Amino acid sequence: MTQFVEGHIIKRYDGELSVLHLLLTEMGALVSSQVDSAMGAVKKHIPDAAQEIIERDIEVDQLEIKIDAEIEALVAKRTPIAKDLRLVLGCSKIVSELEKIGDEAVHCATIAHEMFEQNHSRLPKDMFRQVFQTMKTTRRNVRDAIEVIDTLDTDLAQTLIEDTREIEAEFPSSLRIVVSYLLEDTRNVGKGVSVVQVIKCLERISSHARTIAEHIIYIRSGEDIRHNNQAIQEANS
Amino acid sequence: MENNQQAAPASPSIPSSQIPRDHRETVGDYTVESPRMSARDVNVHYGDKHAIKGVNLDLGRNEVLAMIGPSGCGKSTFLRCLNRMNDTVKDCKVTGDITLDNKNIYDKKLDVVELRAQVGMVFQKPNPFPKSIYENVAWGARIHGLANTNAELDEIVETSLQKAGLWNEVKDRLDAQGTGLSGGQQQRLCIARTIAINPEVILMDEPCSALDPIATAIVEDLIDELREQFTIAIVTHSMHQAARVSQRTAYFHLGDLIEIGATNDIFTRPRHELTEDYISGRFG
Repeated sequence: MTQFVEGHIIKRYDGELSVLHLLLTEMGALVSSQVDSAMGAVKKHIPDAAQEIIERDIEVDQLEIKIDAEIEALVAKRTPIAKDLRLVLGCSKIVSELEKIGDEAVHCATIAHEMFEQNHSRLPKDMFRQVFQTMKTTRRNVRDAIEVIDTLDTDLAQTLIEDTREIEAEFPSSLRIVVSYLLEDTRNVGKGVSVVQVIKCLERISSHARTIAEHIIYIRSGEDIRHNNQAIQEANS
Repeated sequence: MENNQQAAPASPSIPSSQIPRDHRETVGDYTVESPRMSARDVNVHYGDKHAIKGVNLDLGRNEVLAMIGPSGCGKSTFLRCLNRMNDTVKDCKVTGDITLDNKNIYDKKLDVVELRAQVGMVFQKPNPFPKSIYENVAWGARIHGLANTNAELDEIVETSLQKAGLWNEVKDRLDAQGTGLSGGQQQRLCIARTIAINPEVILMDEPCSALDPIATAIVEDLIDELREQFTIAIVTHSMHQAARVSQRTAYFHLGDLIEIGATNDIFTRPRHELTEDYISGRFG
C-alpha cells in the first residue's frame, strides 16, 4: 500500500493520501468489530449488546464524515490524476460501503435483541445451524475486506468476491430450512421472520464486502468489474 | 475532463501500470481513421543528440491532440517538425515521413511558406506585430492573396476576430496597437492572425503558459470551438489543461512516444508506468 501512495514530488501529497488510507483502515477495523459484536448478540442474549452497537455506530458515522472531508480537501487541493484519482474515488465509495455494513450490524443486533426480548429462551439450534454457518462466512468476508483495504491485495480481493457468492447461493436454502421449521409449528412465525431478517442482514453485509473488493480492484488496475461490467461491455461491442 | 471526448477510440480493458518503465515502444494505437497529418518513423537529431526517436503519430480531423511530457522530452521538437519550423535550426536533421492530406511536407518541391499557411502556429508568448489590431489579422490574408478587395479583407478580419472570441472586445478600436492589449487578448489576437489565412492544422506550443487563469480559461474554451473547424495539436505542461482540452493525449519521454490514447483513459488508467508516474506528479 505504501508504495501505491508514495513517490510524489510534493511529499505532503503522499502524507495526505496516507492519512486517508489510515482513516479508512481505522473505520474498517471499527466496522469489523461492530459486525463481530452483532453476531455475538445473535448467538447469545447479551442484554446491552444492541445498545452498545448503536452507540458505537455514531463513531462509524463520525469517521465517515471525517473521511469525506479529507477526500473533499484532497480533490480541491491536489486534483488527483491516474492511480491517485482511482484511490480517492475508490476510498470515497468504500467509506460508503463500510458505513452500510455498520448500519447492517446495528440492524442485526436490534433484531436479535427484540428476538430475545420476545422469548428469553434461546431459539432452537436446528433453526440456527444455517444462520451460524452464514455468520461464519460473513465474518470471514468482512475480515478479508478489511485486509484488502489495508493491503490493496487484488488476489485476496478476487478470492473474496468468489467467497461472497457462497452466501448468495446459500440464501435460498437457508430460507427453505426456516420455512420448513415454521410449517412444523406456526407459533414460531415471529421467530422465523426474525431469523430471515438476520440472514438477509448477513447477506447484505457480505454483498458490501464484495463491493469493497471490486473497488479495490478498480483502484489497483483501473478495471471496473462491478455489475459484471466486462460482460456488458463485450455484449455492447 | 468528460467534455468533448467523442473522437477518442475506446481502449481495451488492460489494467494500468502493467507496462514497465524500460519499455520504449509506443503503447496505444497511434493511428486514426482518415488522418489530417501522419508522422511515420520520425527521427530528429540536433548534432549528436537524438531528440526524437522513431515516432509514429496521426493527427485526426477536428480533434485536439495534447502532447505532454517532462522538459526535454521532445514534444515541442516534434510539434515543430509538423510545419518544418526546425528547418531554420542549425544542425537539426529530420528523417522519416510526415504527410499533410497524404502529401509529404518534406518534399523538396514543397513551398514552405504555403505549408506554414496550412499548418499555423501559436507560440508560448503572445507575439503580435507592433501594428494595429486590424493589420495584425489582415497581414497574413493580404500576403497570401486571400482578399481581392478591402471589403473582403474587412470580412476576413472580422470573421477571424469573431472566431478567436475577440471581436466584441476590439471592434471599436481596430486601429489600436495590438501590443497594447492584455496578455490573454494578445494571445487570442495571435490565434485570429493564424486562422485568418485559413489553415487546416493549428499547432500550439504552450499557448497559455504566459496567461492568467481567466485568460487561460477563455483560450481553452476557444480551442474547443476551433476544433469544429481545425485540427489542433497542443503542447502543454499543464496536465489538467491537456485533460480539459484534448480528445487524445500523447506522452513523450526522452524522445520516445511512450503512450498515446484517449484522454479519458490516459488520465484515469494509463497503461505505461512512466505515463502514470509523470501525470500523477511522481517525477517531472
